[in-house]
Amino acid sequence: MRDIIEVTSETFEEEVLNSNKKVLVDFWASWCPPCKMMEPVINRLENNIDKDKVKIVKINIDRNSSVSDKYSVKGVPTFIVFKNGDPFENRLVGAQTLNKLKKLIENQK
Amino acid sequence: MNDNKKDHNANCTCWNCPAVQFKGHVDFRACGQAAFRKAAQGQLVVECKRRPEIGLFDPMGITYDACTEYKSTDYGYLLDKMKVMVLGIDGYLGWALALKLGKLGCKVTGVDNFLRRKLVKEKSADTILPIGSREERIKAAKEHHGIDIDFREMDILNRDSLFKYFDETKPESIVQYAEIPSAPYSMVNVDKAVETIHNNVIGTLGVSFAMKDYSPETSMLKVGTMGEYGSPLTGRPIFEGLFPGDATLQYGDDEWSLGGELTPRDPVSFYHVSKVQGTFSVYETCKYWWLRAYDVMQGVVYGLHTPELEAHPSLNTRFDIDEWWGTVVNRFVAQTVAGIPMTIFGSGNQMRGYITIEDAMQCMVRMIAHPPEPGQYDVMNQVTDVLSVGHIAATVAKIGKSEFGLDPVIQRLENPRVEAEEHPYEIIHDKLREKFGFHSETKFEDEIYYMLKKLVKPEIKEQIRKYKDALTPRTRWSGEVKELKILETYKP
Repeated sequence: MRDIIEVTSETFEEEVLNSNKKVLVDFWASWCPPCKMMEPVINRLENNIDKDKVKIVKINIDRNSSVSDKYSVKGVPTFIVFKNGDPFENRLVGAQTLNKLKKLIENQK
Repeated sequence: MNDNKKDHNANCTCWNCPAVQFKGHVDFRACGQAAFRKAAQGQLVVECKRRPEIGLFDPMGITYDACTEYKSTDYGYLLDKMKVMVLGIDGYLGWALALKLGKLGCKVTGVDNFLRRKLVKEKSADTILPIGSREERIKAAKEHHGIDIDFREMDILNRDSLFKYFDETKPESIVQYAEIPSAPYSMVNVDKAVETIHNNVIGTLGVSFAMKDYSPETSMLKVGTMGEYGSPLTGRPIFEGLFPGDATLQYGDDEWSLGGELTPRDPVSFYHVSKVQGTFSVYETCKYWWLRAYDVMQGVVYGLHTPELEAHPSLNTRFDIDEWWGTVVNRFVAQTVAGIPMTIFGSGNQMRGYITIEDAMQCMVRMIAHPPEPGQYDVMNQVTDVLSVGHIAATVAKIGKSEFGLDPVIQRLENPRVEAEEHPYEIIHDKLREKFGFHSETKFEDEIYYMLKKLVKPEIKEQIRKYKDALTPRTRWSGEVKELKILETYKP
């Protein structure tokens, strides 16, 4: 099972903003127990999406505060879907079930 | 393929390492939402306390296997002369761990207030393996292992002394063994319940504050206990402290992930309550101050040997057998050696997690070698075998009879505790193996055999019989002082 791509403030523009796919960004932190526990759920989500249209990345908020500040990420985990360089309005904060994450991606077009 | 036993922490970076200085480069805020001072490169930089000449650098850049301060050992990469502080160094586990760490090249320092020695004697009992005084132990460690242990007398509740000690030592890892570990002791009366809770909870709290002020990049290995969780009658698995990501709560038409939340606690004595409280102290300080902690939910430890303890009798760790301080496997072995019936409470179907002292020490060293992330609180279920009390007695009887010609007797007593005697019990215990490369080096029956072999000696039998009264279980959870009724006596 491939690991989810880790992006940084340097690679965020290329991997997320300039992507031609919908991108689910998982904002996480090392001190956050739900973030750690979400890893297998996110991996399972990756096998449940149309990889031609959607991709999933994660970004550590402590090491990339410029990005987390820009998108006003306060609590972790925070899940934001991006398309064409912009974040969708609805986001999810806290540990999530697989279904809720799938809906977040699907319902925002 | 990596040899996980030695390489489990090869890819850790300075981000995990206690030698790194975050202070001054990180602005800590509540709930761990840190903001970083931007260096010239616009990214997080830190300094190394061991190699200040390096200046500022990216903490993700160097891995343990590439860092010159780390040496490869059988338990993983360890900081050269890692400064490990063992609180409660004089105890059953503390002394065994101190020797093992010293042998691995760690710079071991530790304190003890010798409360355990005092409380066991007050019970008119004592360790049946003779142990040296503090000075004798220091000398023995030097003579037989060539290690220098800085072992001082101190009560960690004396926070002035504790803080000065932290300031002087600047530990790189802390093992908090300085707690009263007895469930029955905590149930005797209000004074002992208060003493247990005060000693354990306030002690740990003080250590957390000392860490914040003097060694915030250091991890605490907090000893919890499997007894924090209780034994849920629904039979749901006992996860490792925190719910996995796909655990969900369903209510009405909605569902929520429980991922990362603390699993329910259901303690079984005031001692176990103190452990639950200690869990919360430590969990909070990780949140408030970015401290790092492993909560080690330890199964019942048994056995009396590690390679380091074996080197010479002067290095013995204590071996308690009375009803307050002797844990069940050790106590059953002692009872059988002395020709006293093994005392099972109620049906004997109660199940618990168990681990030998050698395996427990291996786990602790691995966790010391592979610290949590900054601000991370994580939980490990430190267990190798799930056994019923009845099975333990039957096994001690079997080996005692067949290998040593003993005449074991089992006695079932009215259960003085408030606990489920019939209950499902599924313990999840994967992390120590998967994350830390733990591999059990011992087997339950081998360890029983080994203990009997060491203890079947006339002088030890005589000493155990001397403490027969202290061995007899009497302490009821109700507080009532009354002999326990015998339900059944038989020879297995």
